[in-house]
Amino acid sequence: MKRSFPVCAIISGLIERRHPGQEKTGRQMTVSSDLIYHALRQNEPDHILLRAAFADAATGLIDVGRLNQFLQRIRGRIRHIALSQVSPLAVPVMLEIGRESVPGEASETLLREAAEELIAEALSGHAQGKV
Amino acid sequence: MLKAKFDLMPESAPSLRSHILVSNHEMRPLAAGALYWEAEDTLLVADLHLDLEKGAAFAALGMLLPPYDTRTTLERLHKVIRAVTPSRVVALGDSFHRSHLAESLAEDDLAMLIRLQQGREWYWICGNHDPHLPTWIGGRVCTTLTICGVTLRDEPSQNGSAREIAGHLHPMARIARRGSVIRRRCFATDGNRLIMPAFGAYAGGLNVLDEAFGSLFLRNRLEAWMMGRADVYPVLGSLLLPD
Repeated sequence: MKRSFPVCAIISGLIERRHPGQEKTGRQMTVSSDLIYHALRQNEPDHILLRAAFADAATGLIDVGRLNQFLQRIRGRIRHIALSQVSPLAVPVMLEIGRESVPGEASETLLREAAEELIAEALSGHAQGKV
Repeated sequence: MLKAKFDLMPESAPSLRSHILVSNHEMRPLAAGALYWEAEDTLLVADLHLDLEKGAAFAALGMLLPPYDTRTTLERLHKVIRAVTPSRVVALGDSFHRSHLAESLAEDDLAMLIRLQQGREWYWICGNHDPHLPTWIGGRVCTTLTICGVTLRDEPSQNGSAREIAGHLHPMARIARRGSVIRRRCFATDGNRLIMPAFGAYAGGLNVLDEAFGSLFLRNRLEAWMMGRADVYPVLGSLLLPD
């Protein structure tokens, strides 16, 4: 939902899409759709943009409606078998694993890595007797 | 004795530093964007930009934003104060977006602000946005405040060797690693001067390498403490990128 929100926000004119080469003016406020998303989630959970984002999310990455119909159709007619190896039909799904990143965690890791470089430099400085 | 103990364990992994040294005083940056000076039991926040829902103001300019920033900012401030319970809070200027609009602060927001001040000293340092503050917002109003030789102010002074903590510039730092770019609010320091990130919910930011920061920092000692979700990460000045 968070991912489909920016598109809704741009269509509604709430935020402007930045094009390459477009110069920022001095006092321009940079508005992150993230901020707006959280503000609305917190204060107006029924806001029309959130409903639009929800509707988009329901048909974007996965079509929730179709999935629903499918699950109803096959109800009671599924056999669950644990395979010892990946079945041919599952290969595309297996290939998708790892393709989707979880943005929050990844950037925390990168920040930690960058911070460790500072420690490394402090330690090497120490070894050379610079500190 | 203690020193010997450390020397015996050189293999122990170095942990992330948790304190910024400003003129040799230890300050603990909090992931919420506030700075806690333990020795003085003082909590510092900068650029709250309360009131004047920025949303409402920008709507007049044709940018429509949901008008909840004051409440969001106050709630975050409340959370930090509840966690740290400092005996003194200093707001480093630009606490209100416009002095005269402090009067349009919603009643329950004002009540919350007064409640936060109970049981502690509270200082408002005047900034360029709020040169005149009304008395009914509580606390003491001043233009600068000096604690243990460290001056707290809104706009950093041009004095190259000043030992001070300022706000006003809303520093952000940008780094690139493994093909992804991360841009975060940060505490920027060179050990003498520290510029605090903006605490206000909708406040924008300025890259630390922007010319507005000019000669405020000794470049070879610049560190940006970038705000993560639960931690603040010290990053070498040499890793920073311009926008």
